[in-house]
Amino acid sequence: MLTINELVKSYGGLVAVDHISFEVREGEIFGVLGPNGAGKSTTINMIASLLKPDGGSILLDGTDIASLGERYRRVLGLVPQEVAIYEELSARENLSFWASLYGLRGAKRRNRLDEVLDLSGLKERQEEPVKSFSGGMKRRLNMAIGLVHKPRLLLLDEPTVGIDPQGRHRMLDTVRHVASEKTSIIYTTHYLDEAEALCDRLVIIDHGRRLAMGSQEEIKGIVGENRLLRIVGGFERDAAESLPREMPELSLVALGEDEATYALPMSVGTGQFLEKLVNRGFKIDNLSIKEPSLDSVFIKLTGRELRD
Amino acid sequence: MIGKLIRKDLLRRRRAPAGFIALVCLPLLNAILMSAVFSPSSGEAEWPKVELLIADNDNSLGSQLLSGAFGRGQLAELFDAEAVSEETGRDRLARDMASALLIIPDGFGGDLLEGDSTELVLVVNPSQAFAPKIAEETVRFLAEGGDRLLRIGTVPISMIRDQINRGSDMSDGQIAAVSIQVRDLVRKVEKQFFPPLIELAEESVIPQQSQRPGGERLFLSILCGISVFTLFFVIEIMARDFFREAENQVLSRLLAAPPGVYSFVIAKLGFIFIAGLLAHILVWGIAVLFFGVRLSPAGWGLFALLSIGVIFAFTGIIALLYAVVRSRNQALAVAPAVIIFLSMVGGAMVPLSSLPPFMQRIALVSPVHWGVDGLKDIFFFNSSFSSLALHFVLLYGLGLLFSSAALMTFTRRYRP
Repeated sequence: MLTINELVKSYGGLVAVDHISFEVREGEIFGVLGPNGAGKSTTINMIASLLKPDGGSILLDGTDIASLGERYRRVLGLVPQEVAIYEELSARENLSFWASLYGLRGAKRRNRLDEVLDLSGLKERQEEPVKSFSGGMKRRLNMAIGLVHKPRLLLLDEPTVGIDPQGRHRMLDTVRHVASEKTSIIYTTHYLDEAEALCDRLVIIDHGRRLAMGSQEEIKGIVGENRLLRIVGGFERDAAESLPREMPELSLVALGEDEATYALPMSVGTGQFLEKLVNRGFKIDNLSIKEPSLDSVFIKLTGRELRD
Repeated sequence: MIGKLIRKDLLRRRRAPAGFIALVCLPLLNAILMSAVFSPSSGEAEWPKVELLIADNDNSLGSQLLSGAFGRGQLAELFDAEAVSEETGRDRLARDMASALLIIPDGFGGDLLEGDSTELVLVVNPSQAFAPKIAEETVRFLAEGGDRLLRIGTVPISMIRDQINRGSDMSDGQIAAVSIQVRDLVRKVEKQFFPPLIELAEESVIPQQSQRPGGERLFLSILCGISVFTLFFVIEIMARDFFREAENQVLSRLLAAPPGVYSFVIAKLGFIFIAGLLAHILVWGIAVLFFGVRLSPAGWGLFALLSIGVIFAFTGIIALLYAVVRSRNQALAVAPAVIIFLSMVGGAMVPLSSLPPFMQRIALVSPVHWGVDGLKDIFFFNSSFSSLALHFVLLYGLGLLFSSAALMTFTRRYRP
């Protein structure tokens, strides 16, 4: 449905998006995963036609979105990272205004407003001014506005930032419901659990570059059946580097001044590994073990955790 | 699409009307307070006298007639004249102890008798607002009066001059002849000389054409200026929406939706214009309902045309300013300065006549001037469409020019 080809965007000397490509299929939830500053929002803004790419193309059903103009904007729904609503108006007035921009009118509009208010859990307080809403309610309305015209493509830019766990759970349910109605969703986040819980396929980006892309299984396959062991403490650099020679199943993923990360197959016990550490004089302040996950993929690909 | 965007902005304003109404009520409050303080209809108020110093370097009959004029009749009520030497006069003027210094040159009386041209020098104190202007106008008037006197009084003057040249005393018959000539002269001159003295007083603040009572005249005069000044601020405050919508990301959402850039900017200009129009209607509506401001239907038609032009011009100026600045902070720093400058030189705060000549020339480039001047013309002179044509052309032209420039600049900024 949507094809992103070699997208490039620079600000001065800084390359924010560096030849990123991916494809979003009809009715799927496609995740764009990466830390803050990775280039997620820049990518979303180009897809939303708010930014002009320096290179590459964005095609909707094979046609460049730049040539589609308003026809593209009519099938697009955008939920920005910030809460983009009119605080003086009620929830219903906000939705009604946005629905009217997409040409919904009369009974069709009223019915759609009822549906969306119900879906976002705001029906009870639909006539109240939005400025009296809690942060979570405002976020839900922010999302509802993006859905009101039943877009074919919905862009969600970190929609759960600053929301409580209950509200977040509800919002993820809403996203699943929308996808079930054949809307394609591009969902950016830096929360791994959200991406794991929600996305059919995803792309991992960092410093504007694509690190990995595919289904969750395909991406987790990058680390294989390995668990990641991260040691924080005091040790000799040589000792840390030579450890895999003594233990061939072990591979060094990342090495810092006071921390080292190793990958170890699930079939090999950690006891042997810990024994070797102690024998080589490692002073261990902290040891964490990560089972295969998107986070371990990110660590394997970048040498650091996603939240860093 | 544009209509929907404008309706949305108006609805938002309707939901939070307190600030808007308070802003609109300010000019009325100002006009009421100022007219209450300065209104001459209170009976007790007196205009301050013009402190005029006269340096008579000639000390002739002619110069004494001139300097004595300020101590007689209605001029005595207006002027506090004092004879001084030129040096003392200049010194006191330099120390802000007088409004103006009139210097009568040596030979002034002789030149008058000879029919030669002569020159009076008036040194004014620019730190005083109105008084030097009154002194200037009066001296000019008296000089013109003296000129007329010379032209009309050729016969008696020549009789006196001949007698002086001969160095002999005048006989009773000659004195009687001159007396008859002088009496005839006074009869001729009095209609030209004395009525203008009265006319001078009538020209001072409110022209004779206006039949409005003094208190209403002052209230209206102040309201014309302050309502235009406030209108400028109302429009500036509404224009802040450009930044508000960009800051809270609603703009991104709008630009990714069907309206697009053009519709957004045009709708915002439309909203600012309508909000300004509503503010203006509210101010003048209250003035009509509660302060008895009246105009003929034709007058209201001109008022509406002029007001729309003023609002259009202000909308364009502010929109262009907001399109050019880079941030809300820059806008908040620059916009009030521009508004205050244009309002000050445009005569919205103080009457244009009390400003220095160079500022009066600058006023011509301020749309505030054309707005205030047009409103005063409508209320005090019952002006016609043709007499206000220049006002309309300039205001609508400025509006079109600045709005188009703002639209292009905003489009360049927002378009990806």
